[in-house]
Amino acid sequence: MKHTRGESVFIGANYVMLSLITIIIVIPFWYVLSVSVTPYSVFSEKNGLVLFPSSISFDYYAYLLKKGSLIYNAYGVTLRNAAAGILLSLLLTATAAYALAEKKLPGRRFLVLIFLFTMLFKGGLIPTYITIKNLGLLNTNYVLILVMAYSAFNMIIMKTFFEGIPDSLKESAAIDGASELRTLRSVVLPMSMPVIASIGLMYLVTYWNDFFNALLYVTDWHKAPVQLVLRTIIASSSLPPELLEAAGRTPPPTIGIQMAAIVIVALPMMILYPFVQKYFEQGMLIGSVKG
Amino acid sequence: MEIVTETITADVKRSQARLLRRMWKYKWLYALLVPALAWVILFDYLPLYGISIAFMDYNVIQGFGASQWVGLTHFRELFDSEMFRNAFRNTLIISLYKMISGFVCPILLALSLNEIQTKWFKKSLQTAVYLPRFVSWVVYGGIITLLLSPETGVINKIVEWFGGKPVYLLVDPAYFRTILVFTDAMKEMGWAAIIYLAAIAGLNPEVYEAAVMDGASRFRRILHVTLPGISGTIIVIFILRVGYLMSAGLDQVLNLYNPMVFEVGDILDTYIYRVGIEQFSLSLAAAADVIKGIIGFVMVLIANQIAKRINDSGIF
Repeated sequence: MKHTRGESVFIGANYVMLSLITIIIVIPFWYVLSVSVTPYSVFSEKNGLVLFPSSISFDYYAYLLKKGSLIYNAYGVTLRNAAAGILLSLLLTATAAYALAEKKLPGRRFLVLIFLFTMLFKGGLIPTYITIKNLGLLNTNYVLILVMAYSAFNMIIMKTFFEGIPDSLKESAAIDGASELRTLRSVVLPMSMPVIASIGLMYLVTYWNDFFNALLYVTDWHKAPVQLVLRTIIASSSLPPELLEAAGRTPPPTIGIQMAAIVIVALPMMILYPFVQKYFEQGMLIGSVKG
Repeated sequence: MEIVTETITADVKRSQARLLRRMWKYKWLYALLVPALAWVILFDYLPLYGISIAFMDYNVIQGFGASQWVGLTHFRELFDSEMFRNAFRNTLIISLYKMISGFVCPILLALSLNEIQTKWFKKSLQTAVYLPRFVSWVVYGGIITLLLSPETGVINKIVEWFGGKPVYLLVDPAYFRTILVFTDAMKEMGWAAIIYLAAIAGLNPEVYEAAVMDGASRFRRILHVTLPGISGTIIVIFILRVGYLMSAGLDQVLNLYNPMVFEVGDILDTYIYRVGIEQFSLSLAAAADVIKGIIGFVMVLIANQIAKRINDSGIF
């Protein structure tokens, strides 16, 4: 296709603008990565401007990931929370969504209302905190797994998906004598793998990136997930004594440590998402079509 | 299908029995609802009961039973508090700014991405701009703090290079809100553009072809075909965003702010966290929660009603 002069300018300007936006978004990440592998001598020699480090060292990483260090331990906590959390949340979300997707279920409207009302009106931070405290969950190993295990938004996405499965498929299973549970297991679930993958990944990101629930409900460093530990490392001016000890008594140049800690915490999701981008987009779109 | 009762004097007992039989038929579906229902009751409905502490002097050790009812005392205290009024004002201001930038940036990004013809290039750009969505505000806040710091920050190095004086941007009230709005846009706009990209992809290609035949330039096509085509999506997304007016970005502010910028950066959520969890004035903070909740509730209802009227697609 031939472009007029004006169009060529337009296309060119568009390419340039988009590339600029992308660079502005990506460069901070590159910079962090680069500082995290730059030895302190090079960093100060270059006056902090190290986009392409002349020499590379992984000292900060070795230092942070020493066996028994706080971040090493927190990694285990986060992995455990995410694994258990995803299983539990998929169970809660899929079962509720499947039941509520059945249009003939007596009392369905009322039940849907019960499930969705709290999207509109929430108890708020303090009443929730009091509830968690009174349930005796504060500072336990499973409080973070539990509080993030269900999201009404994800339930709606799944319900929308289940509603799209033709009734005839379920009916023919029923005629063959399959129970509801069997139908769910052998007809509905195999068809629903894409949406389950989407929702599971969304929960994974939630569990991995949460820091506020941890800040509220976890005070014991041995139960703290990576984000909470990272937050403390970044605000290292007020390091708690346990953390200083876990990091070694004499803190080395902190900027490199901070950046290495950021990389350690952020990297898994950043490596993962381009491969699963498709599922994320899907989930987002099913969700937005309905709500 | 529905069984229609023919006579008005239908036996009530019989229809009750029928309902029970119908419910019995779905017993497994009800059973499937139990786990999620238990979760919702524990973590959504019990906190609703917890709201009552806003009207008490809540005694942490002895619990609800031993606490005195004090009526609206805490609400009065809030309205008298300069810090609360400040947080309230900031919430509205920051939220409005973000609403505008969070509205305009993704649309422009989607329109502009849509004009890229080279497939691999478009895909790589998309992957790159989605990136920040997948890190927490702890991570992103840490990165921003590094970039903006006076000693080591790149921004200040550049300022110095041009002969300027380094500024500690994050403690300067003049810049704080701008930083919030800008970094929020950087983090979220790529992801938010997905919906618009999908809406654009769903437009009828024949209309475009007709526009090309008519000799419409690319710019005119965007203005007269693409934008009107996705206007429904744009309106719904905007209205739904209005429903979140009272949430100005807890994670972001908590990871970027400091006492130097409370005046311009403290929002209701951070105020509630500080007063309730750090200073342990649980009842006072819960009262602030109630105010936030009620206004938020009303905003969501209004937004949803408008969305329904315009586009027939509210959430509830």
